[in-house]
Amino acid sequence: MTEHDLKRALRDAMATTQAPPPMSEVRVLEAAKTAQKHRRAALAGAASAVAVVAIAVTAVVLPGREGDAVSPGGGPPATSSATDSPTTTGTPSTTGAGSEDTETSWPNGQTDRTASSGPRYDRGVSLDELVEEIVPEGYATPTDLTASEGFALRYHQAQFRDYVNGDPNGDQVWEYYASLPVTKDGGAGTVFVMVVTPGDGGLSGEGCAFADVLWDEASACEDVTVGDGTVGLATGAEGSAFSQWAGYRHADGTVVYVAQALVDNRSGLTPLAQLPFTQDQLATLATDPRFHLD
Amino acid sequence: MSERDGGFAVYFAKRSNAMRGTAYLLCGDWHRAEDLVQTSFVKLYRVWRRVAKEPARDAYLRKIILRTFLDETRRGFFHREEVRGEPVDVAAPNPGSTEDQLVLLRALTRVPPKQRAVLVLRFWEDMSVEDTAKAMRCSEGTVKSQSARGLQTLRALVPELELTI
Repeated sequence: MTEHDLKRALRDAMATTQAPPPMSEVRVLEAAKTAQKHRRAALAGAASAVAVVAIAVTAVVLPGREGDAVSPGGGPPATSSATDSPTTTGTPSTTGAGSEDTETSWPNGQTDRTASSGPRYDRGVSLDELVEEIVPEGYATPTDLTASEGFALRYHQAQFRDYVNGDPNGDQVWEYYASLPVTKDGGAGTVFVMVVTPGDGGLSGEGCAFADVLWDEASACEDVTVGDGTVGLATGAEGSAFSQWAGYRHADGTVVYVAQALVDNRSGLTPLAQLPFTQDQLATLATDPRFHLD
Repeated sequence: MSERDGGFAVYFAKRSNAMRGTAYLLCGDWHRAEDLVQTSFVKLYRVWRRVAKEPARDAYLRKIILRTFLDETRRGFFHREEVRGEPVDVAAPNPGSTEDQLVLLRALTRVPPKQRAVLVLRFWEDMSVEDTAKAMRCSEGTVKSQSARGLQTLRALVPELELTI
C-alpha cells in the first residue's frame, strides 16, 4: 500500500460510509454561548477571590493601618497590591488563540520543543563533536556547506519528544541528533546520528523491529549480532534520506541510530564515490557506549 | 442573532461535516467524532474574532480536534486497542467492495493514535509534512517516521487491502 493508495482508499471508504445527519448549528451555538457564560462567571469568581485575598493581605501587612476602618480602595498601596496580585500568581494566560487546555506543555520553561541552551542543548553539541570523531580518515567534515535554501548542512539539535506515557509530571523523552556533511574528492554525503532517550512507546522491540524506519521506511532490514546485542541494519529505499543505517536499543531503552548517505542532494555536490563506513562498522557504531546519552 | 453568531453559524454549516469526517477517521466512532467537533467549535467560538480568516479557522479546528483526540487517548478516555501483528478479525473483503472499504476504516482504528493522526492529516487532509509537524508539535522527521510506521501497521493489519487498493 503506497501513500497514494491510502489517499484514494480513504476517499473511497469515506464516500461509502454512512454518516449521521448533519450536526445542528443551533445546538453547537447554544453550547458555545453557555460555555462562554460559564467561563466568564468562573473568571469573575476567580477575580473576586483574588481581590478578597489581596484586601486581606493589605489589611494585615500595611503598617499604621491596623484597626483603621479603611475601605479596600482606600490608598495607593492597597490599590497597587490588589492589581498586582493576579500577575504574580503564575496563572497562564488563557486569552491567546493558541493557548488550549489540550496542548502539551513544553518542559523546563521552554517556549518550543527545541532546547536552545542548558544541559540538553550541550548534549546536542557533544553529539556533533562525537560524530566528527568517528568520521573515517580521508573524509572532511566542513562546517560551511549550505543548502540552496540557505541553512547550514551541518547541524545538531536537542529536542523534547514527549512525556513518558503522556504524563507531564513524569519523565521526559528527548531526542538528540547531529548531521554532518562529509566530503571527499569533490563528492558529498552525510553521516547522521540520532539518540532517543528511554520511554518512547513507538520505538519498541530490538533490531529491525524498530530500526526499519528512520524517517523513511527501509527497503530491506537485517538483524545482526554485535557483542550481546541485536542491531537492525537497514538499507534505504530509493529517494530515502539515508543509504544505510543501523539501529540499536540499549538495555535501558536508549535507542541509537547511526546513518550514512552517499549523496546529499541539498549540497549541490556530486555523490561520494563510496560510503564512509562498512555495514559492520555502522552496526558496531550503533552500539558504541559513547552515543548512550541521557 | 448577533453578527458574530450569524457568522459562526454559517461557518459551522459549511465546515462541520468535513471536520466531522476528519474526527471520525481519528477516533472511528461517529458519536465521539461529533463530540470532538462540538468541543472544537465551542473553543473556536471563544476566539472567533481573533481567528478572523477562514483558513486560519480551519487550521485552528483541526488542531483542537487533533489535540483533544490525542489528549483523551492518552488519558484512556477512548478504549485502548492493542495493535496486533495479525489481520483484523473480519472476513476477507471482496476486492473493491463497500465491505472492503469498511475493513480499511476498522483497521485504521487499530493503528496507534499518533501514527493514525499523521496518516489522517497527511492523506485525508492532504497536509504537507511541515504543516503536519506543526499541528502535531513534532519534528518533520517524526512525521515521516510515524507515517511510514502507520502504513506498515495498516499493511500488517489488512494484508488483503494491498492487493485491492
